[in-house]
Amino acid sequence: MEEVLTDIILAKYNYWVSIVLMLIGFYAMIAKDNLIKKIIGLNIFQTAIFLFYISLGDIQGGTEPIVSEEIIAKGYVYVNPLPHVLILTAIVVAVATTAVALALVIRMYEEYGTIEEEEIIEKERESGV
Amino acid sequence: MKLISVSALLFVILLGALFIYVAADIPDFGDAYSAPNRYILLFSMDAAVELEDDLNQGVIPQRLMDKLEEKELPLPYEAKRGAGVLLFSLREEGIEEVEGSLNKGLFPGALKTEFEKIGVSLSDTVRVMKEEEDNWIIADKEEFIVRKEGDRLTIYDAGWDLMIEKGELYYPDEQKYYFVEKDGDTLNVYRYALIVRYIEEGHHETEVPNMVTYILADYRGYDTLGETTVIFTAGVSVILLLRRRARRPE
Amino acid sequence: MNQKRKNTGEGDVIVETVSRLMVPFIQLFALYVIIHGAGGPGGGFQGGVIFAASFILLVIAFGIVDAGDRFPESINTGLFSLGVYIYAGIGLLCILLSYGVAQYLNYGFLPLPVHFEERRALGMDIVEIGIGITVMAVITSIFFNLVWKRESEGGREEE
Repeated sequence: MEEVLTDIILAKYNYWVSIVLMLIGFYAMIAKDNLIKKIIGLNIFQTAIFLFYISLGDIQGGTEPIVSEEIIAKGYVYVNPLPHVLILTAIVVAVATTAVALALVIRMYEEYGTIEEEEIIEKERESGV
Repeated sequence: MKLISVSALLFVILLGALFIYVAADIPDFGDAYSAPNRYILLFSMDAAVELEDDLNQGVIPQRLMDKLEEKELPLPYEAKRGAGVLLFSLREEGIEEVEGSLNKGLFPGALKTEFEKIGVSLSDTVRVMKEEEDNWIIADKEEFIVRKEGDRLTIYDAGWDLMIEKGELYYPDEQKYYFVEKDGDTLNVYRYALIVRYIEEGHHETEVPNMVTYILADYRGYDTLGETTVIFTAGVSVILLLRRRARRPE
Repeated sequence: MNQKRKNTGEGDVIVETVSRLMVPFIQLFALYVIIHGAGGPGGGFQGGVIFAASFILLVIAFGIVDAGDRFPESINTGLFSLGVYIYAGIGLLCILLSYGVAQYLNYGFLPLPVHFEERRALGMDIVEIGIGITVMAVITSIFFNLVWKRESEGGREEE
């Protein structure tokens, strides 16, 4: 029992946090009716993915990845900089996706007058689609 | 509750169970030996004494070349007695007593705690050998090199670096590509991850200190061009969607 | 700017004056983050977003109708493509000037009067400025489009 606590939960605690956030965001994207809440769920999901990916590249006792002679002379080890680079690109993609989604929600509000998904489906059904 | 929220909850529980099943295989948080940070294991082969003698003189044994050729990997041309990637280093407190015990052939306790911190547990039959002045080898199942550089002690993995030639695989200079390590009775052949080249040689090739910037704008500059196109496309599509509203009140 | 204000309260003067004083410092900080991306944390994307934040501060303090007239849409849209032109153009220049080995985006072949490795550092700086211009223009334009509201209730449609 103690082995489960230290080996599986405490040694990899950041992965567990990231998985919990992923599941919260996933549930919010599917099961909520309000369109703005779906967009918030998408953002929570993307944040969990960034957290998971960056913490794959961490080294215990490492320092930030900026080359300087004093740090090498003191003997520190550098953290892996490649996940940082890839996530920088992914953050910009997340911003672009959120911007286009919000623009679509504004257009839908002007067309239907509501942003609840159930009422939009009702209006479409009434107009005979 | 509605049907969709119940089914979403069931789906989320199923995914959670799947993640818990997978979580046992992920390396520990901050593990120094995980594959994307250091080496990637290619294969292992049985060790014989003549292989080690060949590698110590700088010649690559024929059995190793045959095995590399049958797996269709690029062939090296030289072997150097190298240190692997830096594991940790000791500075300031108590360096002299650690050095004293290493000179006498005993294994100091301070090093044992440092090894445990990165997850390597050494058995009790560990030996310390002195190779040259300021160079020691700690031999257990795996071997480690201890060097004194300036006023600090640095500990590396011990093994042989195999270099490939200039121009092969688009590298501009000769480059260390394989790392061979002796582990008990077998020889493990690893390949260096690409990040090792970016960390060690990036500051010489581009005079920029920040690692993230020179990887983003120089070595992976083509991806950043695509990234700029993505944000440009987002701006254009927002303008196209929201253009039919009253723009100027005149 | 003073004729069209609808609500006149005491707090408005403080908010307007302070935000008008803060905007140059925010822009100076944004330029610092873009240029010093090579020596410390920072870079093109981060500096571009901070630059756009100074324009968003003006919109929050003054209202969209007054502040929106200062940034005409044609210049903003022209700045989108200027950044991408700078980036792709540097790459094309490197192909034209590297005789023999045609390599895209290898900044060592640019015609600058320093040695090979330092040309790569200067090429990186030029490219980061291009990225910063594009990101600043895009985020400003997205914010203005999302926030714009109709003047009259009927809602005229432009062609």
